[in-house]
Amino acid sequence: MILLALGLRALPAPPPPKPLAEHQIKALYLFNFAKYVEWPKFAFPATNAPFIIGIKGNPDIVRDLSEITRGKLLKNRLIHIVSIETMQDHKGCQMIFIEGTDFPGIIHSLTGPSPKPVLTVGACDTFLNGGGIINFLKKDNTLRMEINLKNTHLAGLAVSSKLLAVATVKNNESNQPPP
Amino acid sequence: MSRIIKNGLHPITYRLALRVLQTALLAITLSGNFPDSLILAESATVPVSLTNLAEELSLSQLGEIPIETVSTASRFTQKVNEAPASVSIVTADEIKKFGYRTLGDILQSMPGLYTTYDRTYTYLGVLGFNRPGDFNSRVLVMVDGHRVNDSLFGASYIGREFIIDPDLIDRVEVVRGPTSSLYGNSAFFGVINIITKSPADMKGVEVAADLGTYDSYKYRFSGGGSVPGTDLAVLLSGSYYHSEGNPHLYYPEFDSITNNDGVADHRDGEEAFNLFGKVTDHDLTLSAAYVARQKNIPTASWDTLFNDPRYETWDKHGYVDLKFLHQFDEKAELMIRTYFDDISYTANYPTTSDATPSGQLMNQDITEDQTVGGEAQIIQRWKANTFTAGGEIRGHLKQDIKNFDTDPLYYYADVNKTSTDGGLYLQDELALSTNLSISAGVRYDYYESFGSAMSPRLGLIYHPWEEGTIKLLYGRAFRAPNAYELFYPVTNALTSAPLSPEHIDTYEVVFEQYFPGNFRVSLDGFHYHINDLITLNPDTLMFENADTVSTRGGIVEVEWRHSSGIRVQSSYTLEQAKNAATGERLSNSPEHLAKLAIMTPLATKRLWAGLEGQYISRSLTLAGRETRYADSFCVANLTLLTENVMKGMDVSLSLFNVFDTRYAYVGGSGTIQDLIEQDGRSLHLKLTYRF
Repeated sequence: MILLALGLRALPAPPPPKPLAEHQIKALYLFNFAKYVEWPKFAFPATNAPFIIGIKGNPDIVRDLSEITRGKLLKNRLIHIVSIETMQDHKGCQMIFIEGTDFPGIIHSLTGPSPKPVLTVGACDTFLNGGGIINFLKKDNTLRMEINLKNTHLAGLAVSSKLLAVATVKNNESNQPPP
Repeated sequence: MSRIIKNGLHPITYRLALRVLQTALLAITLSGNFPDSLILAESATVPVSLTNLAEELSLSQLGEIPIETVSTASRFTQKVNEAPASVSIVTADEIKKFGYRTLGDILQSMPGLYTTYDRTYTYLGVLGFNRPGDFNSRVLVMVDGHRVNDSLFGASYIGREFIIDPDLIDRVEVVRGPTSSLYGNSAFFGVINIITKSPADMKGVEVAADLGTYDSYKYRFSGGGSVPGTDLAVLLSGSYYHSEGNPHLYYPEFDSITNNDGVADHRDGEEAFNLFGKVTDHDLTLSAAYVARQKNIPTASWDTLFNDPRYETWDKHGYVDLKFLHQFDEKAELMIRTYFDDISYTANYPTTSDATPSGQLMNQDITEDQTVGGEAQIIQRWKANTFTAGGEIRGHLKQDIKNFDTDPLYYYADVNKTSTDGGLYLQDELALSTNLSISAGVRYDYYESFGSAMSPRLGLIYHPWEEGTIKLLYGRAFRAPNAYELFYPVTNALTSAPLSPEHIDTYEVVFEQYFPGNFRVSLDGFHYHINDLITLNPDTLMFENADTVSTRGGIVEVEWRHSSGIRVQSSYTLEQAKNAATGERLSNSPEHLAKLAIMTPLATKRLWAGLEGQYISRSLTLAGRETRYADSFCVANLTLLTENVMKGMDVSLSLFNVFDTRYAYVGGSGTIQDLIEQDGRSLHLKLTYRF
């Protein structure tokens, strides 16, 4: 109000982004992944089945994602956020995020001779090599992402160029899923 | 909960509101920036809303957000508290870690609230108001938005007689403040909404066993999950509770040879059976609940024979509720609900009689309330507004109140009524700028029995700086005279003069601030004035709108959370509730309440300790009693919880009344005892197994 009265320009310069907790940034990213990836029809049991995101090892993200997705539709589907605890919990999810190193079991059951159309996201150096699709990495105290296109195609998913534009693309031919 | 209730603008409030509006409009005009949505502007100073950030930030911007350092990382996951009321929440995690066994235990830990128990029912006091003899009729209790208060006594139950097993609670939201502008009747002091767990929360089968002092045990069997091949998810649960109660209760008022020397021997037993089911499928939720609870009463209240095993109450409540909730897009939501409730109560009073050869007879209360209802609500966002509009209608198919002697059969009361009531409401929350919003709402209720009531509310929410909130709230609420007050023939006279509803006007100012280091401080000043309080005139023995009550007070809350999981919550409440006509303090109204709850992980993150306690200052007994005060006291409870001690098994050990404090609550008009002594220390062991 006072600035205007002094004749200074009305629009202030954009302020620097406020810091957020790591789990909040991850939740925002996950929400975006769901928006910018295409799943094949058979990834869902029914045309009006909900989109299910499973989170393993990070209850804060479950809470954050639940808040972000409340009342929203994704590609005309309701969104459910579930917490993955046991080996069975991830079945039915279209997207899974696994915090930490405990991912081989889940990745193994999703890849192999008949891969499932599930977008797997991790936060560990060996995640992509282990068969995962997107991995979070820290750079200069910010959170970035790397994506393995081969694993993406194996899962039958299509990624929007918007997502590829901000990711480090890895297409490592020597990636082999664990036996 | 963001409905605002506005009921009849008080002249001072009107001028204040006008002045604020004028200032706000001036600010908006000068800044040349009328917001057309609720999304944060760049200069926003509102606390973090992830939902808003998700809409605003692009992918590339996400990669530029600095990661917070660990010490402030676990900030409160606050919903942006834009609610035009004081909201307190207790989560399932806290229920587990503090060992809360009933809804009353949960409410007792919350600021401004206190509970009392007379070995029949548990009663809730809000901001100094807890008239002995009321049945929590001035608080609306809901389960997933389903009203639980009956239409005969307006009663809600918060002890073991409450319809939902606390293990099934996802969270309890207490909205303190007159909320009739959205919910109508009963939302006099506020609303308590119990949100139950979803089938996804249950995930598989769970069994629990809870064993404790006084030979008490509770077994629960629950299961939840989705039905393969469909979009259905189901949650089912059943539990059974039994307690011998305090086997040895001494009441000096009854100390005589014929009365077992004043000892009520094994007369405090209790039994409760709860069932709950929920089926969800996309937008539809079908839920059903049932409770049947029996209590033996040792106090020989209401002129019954002392130490008689036949004195007992039975309370049952069952309901079915079908809800449809659809989000059209980010801007609109529709809810339609229909339900049926059956609430019944029976009491057996063995009493003396001149008319029978044995000198005794059995008097019985039997009541039944059958209600069918429907409601619809629309929430619509438009520009900077969020409109909420809705209506409900209730048909009471049965309102039966009977009281009779069994042998010889003689009816003192045989009320059989039916009635209809309903309400319409409208509310708007308007974001005047990025840090100022105003909320206004009104509800119109119509009752066949007494006519209509209007309940308005107004609230101003302002964020003067980062992490700070100021709320100015005003509301008016009502309590309808219930079927008992309207139709029960207390004397042989004709039914009482037409009763009007009670009204409450509340003014509240709230400051809330989040500090670095994860502190939250909240200051709340309130003043409420109750008119037309329905009271039983002791001379005519008829109900009338007689009393007025006025209260002034304040609440201070300090909360601290640490990233390790340690949480400290404390509150202090000062409340001075007086009879406005005589200037006398109310009975059963402690002036000071202090509460502390500490939750901390021990050693590893799998072992937790929850310590919570309350200090309640002394309160006056009923007028004319020999003992003037119930003394002040301090009670503490400690719970140790291990999660996954073996896979899927949780074990908790709870010590209630750790210091074995002797304390008593004020007795009601039905008891000869001026004070009702409470239990000493007790120990409980609970095992929960998931598979």
